[in-house]
Amino acid sequence: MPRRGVIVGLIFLLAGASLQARPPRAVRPAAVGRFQSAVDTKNPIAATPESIAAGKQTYVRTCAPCHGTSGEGGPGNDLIPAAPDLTDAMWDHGSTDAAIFTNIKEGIGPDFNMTPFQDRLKDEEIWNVVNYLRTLARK
Amino acid sequence: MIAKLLKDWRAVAVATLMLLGSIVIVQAAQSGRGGRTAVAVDADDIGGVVTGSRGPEAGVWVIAETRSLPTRFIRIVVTDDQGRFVVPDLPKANYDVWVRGYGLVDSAKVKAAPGQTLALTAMPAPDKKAAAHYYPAQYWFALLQLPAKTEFPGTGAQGNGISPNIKSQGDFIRSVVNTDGCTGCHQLGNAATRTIPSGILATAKDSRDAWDHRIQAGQAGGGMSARFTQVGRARVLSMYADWTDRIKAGELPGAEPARPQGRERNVVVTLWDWADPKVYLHDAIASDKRNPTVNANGPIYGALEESGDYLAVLDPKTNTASRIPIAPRDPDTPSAADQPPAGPSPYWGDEAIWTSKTTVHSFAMDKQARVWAAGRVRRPATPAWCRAGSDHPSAKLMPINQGQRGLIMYDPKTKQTTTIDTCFTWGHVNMDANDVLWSSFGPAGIEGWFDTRIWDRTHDEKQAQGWTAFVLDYNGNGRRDDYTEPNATPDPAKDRRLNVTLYGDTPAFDGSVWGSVQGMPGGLLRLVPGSHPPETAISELYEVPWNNPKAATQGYAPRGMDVDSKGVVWTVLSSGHLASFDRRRCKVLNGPMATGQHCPEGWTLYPFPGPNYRNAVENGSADSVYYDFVDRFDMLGAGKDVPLATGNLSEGLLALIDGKIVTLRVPYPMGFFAKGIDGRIDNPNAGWKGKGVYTTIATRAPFHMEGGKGETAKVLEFQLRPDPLAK
Repeated sequence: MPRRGVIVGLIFLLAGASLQARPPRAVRPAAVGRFQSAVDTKNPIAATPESIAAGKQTYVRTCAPCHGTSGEGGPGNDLIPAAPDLTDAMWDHGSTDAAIFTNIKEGIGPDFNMTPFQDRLKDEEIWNVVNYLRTLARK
Repeated sequence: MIAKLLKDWRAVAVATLMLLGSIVIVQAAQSGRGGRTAVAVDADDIGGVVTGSRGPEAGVWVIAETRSLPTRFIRIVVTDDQGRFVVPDLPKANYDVWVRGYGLVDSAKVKAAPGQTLALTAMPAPDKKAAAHYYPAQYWFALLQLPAKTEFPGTGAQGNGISPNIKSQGDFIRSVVNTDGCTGCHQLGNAATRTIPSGILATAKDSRDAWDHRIQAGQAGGGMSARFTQVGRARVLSMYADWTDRIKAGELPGAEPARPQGRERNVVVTLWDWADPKVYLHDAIASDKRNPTVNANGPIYGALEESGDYLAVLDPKTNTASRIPIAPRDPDTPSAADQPPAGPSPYWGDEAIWTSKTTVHSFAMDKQARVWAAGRVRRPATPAWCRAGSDHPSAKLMPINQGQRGLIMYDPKTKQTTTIDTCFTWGHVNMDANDVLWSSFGPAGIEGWFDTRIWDRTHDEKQAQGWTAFVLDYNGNGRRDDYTEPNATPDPAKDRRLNVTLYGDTPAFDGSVWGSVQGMPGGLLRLVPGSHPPETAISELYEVPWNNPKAATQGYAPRGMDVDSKGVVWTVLSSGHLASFDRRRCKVLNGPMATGQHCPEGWTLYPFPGPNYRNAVENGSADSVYYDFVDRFDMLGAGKDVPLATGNLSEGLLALIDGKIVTLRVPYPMGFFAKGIDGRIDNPNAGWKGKGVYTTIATRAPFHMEGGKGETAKVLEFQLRPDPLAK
């Protein structure tokens, strides 16, 4: 079973987001430590239709330029490296709501191709995005 | 009236200027008057002399433009040392002809037809500001004040505002200024970018806020905005705001561009409009790179990337632009139209002007003049046979779950397009001597190929394609063995896999494939496929010398690349250099000592001409050069194996001739910006007239060019004559 892809943004030269050549790993140890405090945080926003609709609106303007409007990953261009699929079950940087929230808020180093959005989005908006992302999961 | 005017010397001066500005004497072709030496023209040429207040004007451009052909047509030449010019071989039409040059403002336009000889009067610029209006973008962008070298590494939002991830001034230049940043898509420094549109200023609280709005404009706004955040948003916004504030306050370029000299005066530049005002192009192709007589006198094809689903086409024989519609195989392929602008554009408001599903990036042409385009044909999820459990030889070793662009082939004989699904993604497409296409645009760590001979025989896309990992010969035994993964500790007994993507990707003539690895410092990768590439391909990586005490010149961040007939690789660097890499000079090729920085002796760096940014100490020039091309067949007219590069801020084609960079400038419309170069020989017996080098305007914002909204991308042909008057 290959290494599984990513959430919001890990891109570019990070180890093979969609390259399916290595054994699966759940979460990298370094990543676990970084958002450990958030792992215990419960998503405070219920996944209501209103939250999901608001999350979609934020996603389309903020996330889709890299990850594609469908969430299946973007083609990349001269400014943006190809970005990973958010609709599959592969999460390199944590699959809990709290981990996804932290990755959006703080970005993913070391290169921060997944940029931090803490100055651009309020916490509530990020939670709404998390709720919307859950609806994209491939059945 | 004349006598009255003579009473006042100021009135005389005014009258003289008016006279010079408005009166151009159109002489009979046979008269020869108006110049010290007559200029001979044929029935399809326009020639003459340009004279200024101090005599003949040498090294200024004469521009002939017509909109009466099927598509707009412009031909530009340079005057010789006696101010003489010949605009050769014009299609029959009525032309506007005028003079543009450094130190001047545009002369009045004269109506002329082929066969005429003109005496044109140059208009001196009344002041430095008026003169600087015509300077290349680089001269304006060089006013940008970079953070000092001592400010790196950045100390973050609570420090100097630069991200701690930006380790050096060079990294800053790469990430936000040069081709990995803003000038990868925009010609910064032109009139549209050195000012801020009034619509943005009206709603912004200050110029920094205005830049914050500007970088979110349009469908690429999300990406532009993210890049600023990545580097240090507040600091970068302040840097750009300071730049435009100073220009608004009247600051002018500190350097003046020289007029064309020597060979630069021999150039003939021809431009044709194509495509439409809402789209932009990435690349164009004219011929088979291996044999440039293929598609002689045929159409030029253009790639619209994310902006539209057609191939732009130009027939240079009939001066006609047209379109070939293209579509993905899967109608549910994502579309750029689904991406709304992150913020309103001052040009297009909230309209999503880019609508492409296919996102065609680049091309190769084969010996049958078929066009092989890197284009999206389906949603990103790959077919099952690309994945784990497949019997495909490459998938068994490196399964792929996600890919973007496949191939779209256009056959001019049948006028049909065919989509081809590949597991991996195509970017720059190039064909080797065995008719195999190569590319590496993702997933990271993969080089892919498509054997057109197998496909022609079988039409089996699965059988015709393959891919391999990049594996360094880390144990140095000359063959591929078991390898360690990219993030694992290297094992001297094993080889080592690299997780890189190649931007440029070009087969060489010894059977190897070279590519450019972007990043800091980035490098060049050589892949030798071997007998069964999925399991035999082996790689070498040569980083650009950076922080390398053994190197004479440091550089970084390659993008475009090509290989000459001797196997020397040429690349362009964000550090403002044209660079060559000659592997034959390397003392170490592989093994544990091949650290990436192990062959500085293979590199030679040539700084691009023109001024540099303020505070810049870690680069060679403020020019931004996207791609390069080796003219192996002397299609330009400067000799075989001359490297050519796209001078996107210097506004011209840059050619390294006899160790010196020559600038073949495109003065009109201002805004030359290209991402690729091709060439063709239409008639090998016709000298300079039978061949040329082609490119296309490839800024993502053609509305930033001189002419503004409504301006389209253009095809450009460059030809170098033996002298400025050759006809």
